[in-house]
Amino acid sequence: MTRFQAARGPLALALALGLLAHPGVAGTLWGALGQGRVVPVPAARLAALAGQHALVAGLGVLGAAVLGIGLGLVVTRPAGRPLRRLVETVGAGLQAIPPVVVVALAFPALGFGLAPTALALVAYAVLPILRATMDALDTVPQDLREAARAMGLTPLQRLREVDLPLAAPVVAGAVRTAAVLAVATAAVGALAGAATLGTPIVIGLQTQNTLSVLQGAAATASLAFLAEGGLVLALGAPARAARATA
Amino acid sequence: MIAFDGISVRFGGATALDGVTEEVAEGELCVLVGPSGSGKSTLLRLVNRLVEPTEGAVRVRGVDVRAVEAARLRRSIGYVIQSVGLFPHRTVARNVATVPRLLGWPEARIEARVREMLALVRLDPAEFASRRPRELSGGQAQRVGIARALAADPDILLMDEPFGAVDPIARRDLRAELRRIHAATGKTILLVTHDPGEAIELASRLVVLRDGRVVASGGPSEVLGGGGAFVRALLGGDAALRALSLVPARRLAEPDPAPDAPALAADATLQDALSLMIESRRTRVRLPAAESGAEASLSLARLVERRP
Ligand SMILES: Nc1ncnc2c1ncn2[C@@H]1O[C@H](COP(=O)(O)OP(=O)(O)O)[C@@H](O)[C@H]1O
Ligand SMILES: [Mg+2]
Repeated sequence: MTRFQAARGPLALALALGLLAHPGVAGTLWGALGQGRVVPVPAARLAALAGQHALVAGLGVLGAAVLGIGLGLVVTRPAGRPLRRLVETVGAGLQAIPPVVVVALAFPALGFGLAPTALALVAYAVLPILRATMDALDTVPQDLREAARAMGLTPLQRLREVDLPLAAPVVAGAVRTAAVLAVATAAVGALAGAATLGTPIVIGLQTQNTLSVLQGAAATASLAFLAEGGLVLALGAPARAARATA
Repeated sequence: MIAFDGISVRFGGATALDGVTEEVAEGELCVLVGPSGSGKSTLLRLVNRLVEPTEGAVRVRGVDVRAVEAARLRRSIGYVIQSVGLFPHRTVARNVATVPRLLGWPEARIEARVREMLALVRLDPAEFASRRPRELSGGQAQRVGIARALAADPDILLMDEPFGAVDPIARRDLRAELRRIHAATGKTILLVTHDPGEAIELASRLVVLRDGRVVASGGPSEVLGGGGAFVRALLGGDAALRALSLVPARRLAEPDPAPDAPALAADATLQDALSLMIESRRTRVRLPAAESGAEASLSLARLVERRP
């Protein structure tokens, strides 16, 4: 399967869910189901929220990827190996803290809104990326590293030409999964005052406007599938398919 | 070319090598044999500084290896291992080009060299250059491994059980290939094997290791003749006899026609020759003229002394 074929499904779903979130479609559907006339969330408002949502999730994943991949590289080098246990434990601890608590704890320093939400997403997503990076680097076959060393590649050249290309598909898979989770989780940011696609959900729940909840949920899911499809296009198909066709 | 001077290597408490002093002359094909764990790989890996000696010094081309930057030293020495270690994410051509690239050769020279190397190991560049390692058989992969090791034209080649993972037929072909390459290039080769036949067929010099010490070294016939019980047990009591089947009779024949001696097939081995001598109770057999050479004959004395 090429990356284009692999991206088709998620992108089609993103489109379908995006249409469902659109006030015209959602409102008409709502009326047809006999749910009475409610004012749907306008398209421009949804688009603005989706932009904020993507920004928060993107920052969260970017932070988690930089931190996770960076730490994964450090603790698998000979000099960084003693840190490995500590890093793994802290990573696991961060993941165990619910995002809402991170937001609450970060409040004094970062205030309300986007920043604490992005921070919560970093904390939440860093461990899977870190684990995948360490595992992928650990499973680079010993004989390949040995061959590379014996041919006179310097440590940096070995990292660049052997370790990283071989680890990349697995790490990319983890980043993709983290991105989808981050997009889904970023909706929670609405509780911390971050204007995201979670906002119409929260407001809809408070005002008993189910159409608003539906639109927010559909738009969030649409964005998650868009992230999945986009990242498949950018980083390659899932690892197993990549190995079969590379 | 390579000198081990009072080498000991200890890993933690374990002693891998213990007081080894050996010299390998330029152009030699030196074969290291010994039981598993006797220190063969460690001895090999001292040469390109994959292992550092605990005591003693290793000199390559007359220079203590510690005086040479490790990466530079390694780029000047070919290294072939049993598992080959081809980079799976790179084509055959890119694999072969590894060291020339590190050395910064111009692209055109690298390309020409890759084709030359693939041809040397008898892989058609048009067919194989753009393949991935997983599209190769074991024997083909090992040929690429050899091509890669030779790409930057190192004068020293280290081979650690290079043919251990390939099937017997491919192994026979690869051995023949290695002999041919050695004869054609005159490189100094250090090769580890635990196959007695391979050791005797290939070695111009044989080093026998046991528990990290050298227990015998010298020309193969010398070692086989004077090696004692351990060496005989290691190489097999009939190793010398079996080794005869690996050498064409023509290699030792002399251009003396001997028209009334019994005739061998043109492509007979030394084993065929000895067998015919015993059958016919004669000490000289005849090799008819063929594509591979003119009319010649071989005496028992030449066969026993293995005088080329
Ligand atoms: N990197 C290492 N760390 C610890 N012990 C080692 C290492 N390399 C080799 N040894 C030990 O040194 C001894 C010789 O090993 P080696 O040279 O690989 O033997 P051989 O190649 O003859 O089988 C063995 O006992 C082996 O376990
Ligand atoms: Mg070994």
